[in-house]
Amino acid sequence: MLIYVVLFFIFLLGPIFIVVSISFTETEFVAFPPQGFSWKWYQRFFEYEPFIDSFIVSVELAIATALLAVALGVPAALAVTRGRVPYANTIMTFLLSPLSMPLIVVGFALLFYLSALGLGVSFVSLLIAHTVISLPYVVRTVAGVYRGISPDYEESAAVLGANRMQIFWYVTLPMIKPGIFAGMLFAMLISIDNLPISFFFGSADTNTLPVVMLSYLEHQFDPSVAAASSIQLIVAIIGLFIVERIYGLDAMAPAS
Amino acid sequence: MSSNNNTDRQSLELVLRGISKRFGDVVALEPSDLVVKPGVLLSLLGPSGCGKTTTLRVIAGFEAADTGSVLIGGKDVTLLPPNKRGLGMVFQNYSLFPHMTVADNVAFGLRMEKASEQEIKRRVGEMLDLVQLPGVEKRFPNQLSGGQQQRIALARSLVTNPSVLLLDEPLGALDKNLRETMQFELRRIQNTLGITTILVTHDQEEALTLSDQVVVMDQGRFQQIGTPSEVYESPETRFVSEFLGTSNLLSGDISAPTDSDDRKVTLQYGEVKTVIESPGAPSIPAGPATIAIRPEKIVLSKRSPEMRNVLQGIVKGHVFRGSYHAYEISVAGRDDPIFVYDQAGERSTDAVHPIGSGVYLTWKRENSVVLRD
Ligand SMILES: Nc1ncnc2c1ncn2[C@@H]1O[C@H](COP(=O)(O)OP(=O)(O)OP(=O)(O)O)[C@@H](O)[C@H]1O
Ligand SMILES: [Mg+2]
Repeated sequence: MLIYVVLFFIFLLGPIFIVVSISFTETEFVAFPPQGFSWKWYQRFFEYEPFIDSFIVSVELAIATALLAVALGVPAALAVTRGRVPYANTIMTFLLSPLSMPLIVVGFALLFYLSALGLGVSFVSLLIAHTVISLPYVVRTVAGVYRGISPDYEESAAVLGANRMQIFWYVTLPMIKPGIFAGMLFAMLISIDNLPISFFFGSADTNTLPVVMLSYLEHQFDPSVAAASSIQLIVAIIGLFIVERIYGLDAMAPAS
Repeated sequence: MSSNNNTDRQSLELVLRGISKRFGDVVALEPSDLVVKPGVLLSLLGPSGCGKTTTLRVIAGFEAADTGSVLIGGKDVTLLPPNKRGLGMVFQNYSLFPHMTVADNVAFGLRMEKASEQEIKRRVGEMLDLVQLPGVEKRFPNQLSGGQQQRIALARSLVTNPSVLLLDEPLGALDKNLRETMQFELRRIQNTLGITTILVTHDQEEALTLSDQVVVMDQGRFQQIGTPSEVYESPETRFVSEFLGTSNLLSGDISAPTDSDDRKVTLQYGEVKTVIESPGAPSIPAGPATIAIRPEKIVLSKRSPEMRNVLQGIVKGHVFRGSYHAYEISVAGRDDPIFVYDQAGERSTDAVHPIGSGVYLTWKRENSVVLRD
């Protein structure tokens, strides 16, 4: 048991620890163990425009993606789980299919498709592409939570006079909230971290942080990239922390 | 449905006309008719899978019947969705909304009707008084015991003054003691409101003690409809007789029906032929037939009694069950023993008829019940 814990720390948390510690080095180059302590690479992050611009794009994109994926994914998950939809299983498989395709392929295909539609390289295209790959996470967590809720609640509400809209609003929605929240968080993390898709839709004002970091690394190799990674990490941790405080992380484990 | 001032909606008659339902190949409900008079508490009683829940769900509107119609107070509601039928329903697991307080749960039906907050407050208070749980308004369902949740579920279903109350095994999840208390509670509340009620149960005792009318169901068919004493004392089919508790079944040959209210059933045990008299049953044709006799209707005696229906046997077993002696008696030429419950007249735990002794069994003519198969 102990050995697993040790291995876990070495292989999963080790790299994170190294990246974070490098970001505080005083040296002009990537050095581990770091030497001295300074905030200068963080300062550089905030002063170097491509970083800060793409960071803002990434955050905006992540939030928009999460909202759109929820708006599309929740009705789909409800309908497929309990609505009397023909071929429900097939539709579910289809909704989850982006999970099982290489992202490069999805990105490439979407670039062609969205260009043909005249959207080309734009924030809207980026949003659509990110929504496609985040949707499975929302559908899955929401369907998982919804499946665990007995239909009796909705039927009780119906006998008490509630119409479909009222049932959804007063009964279903509050009960699937943990699933929606978890799905939203997943969508944000998937979006903020994504490189392969974003790469296809990169331009001066649609570059996301990972894309900028990659191109930065091609020319320079200084610790500011470590600072950028650490900032991304902090965003993710804050997200997880919020979910944990509101629902507990159990909510993120889809009930089977 | 406009129902703002529904405080004294009267209880209505419920009628099922030729209702049937199948799921693929499974016939959940054969074409069935039923009339539940206003204010009557009727039980649907039957084994698992016989179609009780399906019947209730057709009445509530969750399942569309394949044939037939549902009438509430003379109005055809067959095509109305559940939220337009004005019914009350309690599910087996109560299904109280976990994210709402007790008060909000009970108020739900009124909010859907857009009742005023003042009216809601008053009605919720009334309902909590009715189920004898005042003061729990601010609690959440998971802060209540099973029995309390049950009462709140009942309060929630009654708050809109439904015309018919549907209960699907409402006491199924409670332990035995609580169950009995709640049975009385349920009956008291139902009497107070005089609401037409359908109770689904697979517990014979519950159905017999609680209801005005019992429908015994088997394999999607209403086997018998009657008062508790009718279905208990005069079961019409073998299934009903067996399902409603221990009955001795005697197979024999029945004489042709006559004008006089009298049938003769000949039993053949080994070499011995015995003729049993029983009342009319004009629908049963001559030929092989089964009669049922309840254990508590049989009288034992040491000497041959001056009666018509007499069998002779030997005591094989005896237990004292607090208020009666249960005997197991074997009759020569018959495979199954005959059970006899003898009221313990004298306060003695000893058998009046010791094991191994010979006895005569006898019963009144009207206690031989001819069964349909
Ligand atoms: N939605 C459904 N799809 C397919 N078959 C069903 C469905 N609902 C019920 N059935 C079948 O119909 C028959 C009657 O079911 P029903 O639920 O009415 O029984 P029940 O008398 O309520 O049983 P229990 O006492 O176990 O609750 C059963 O054979 C059941 O398997
Ligand atoms: Mg049932």
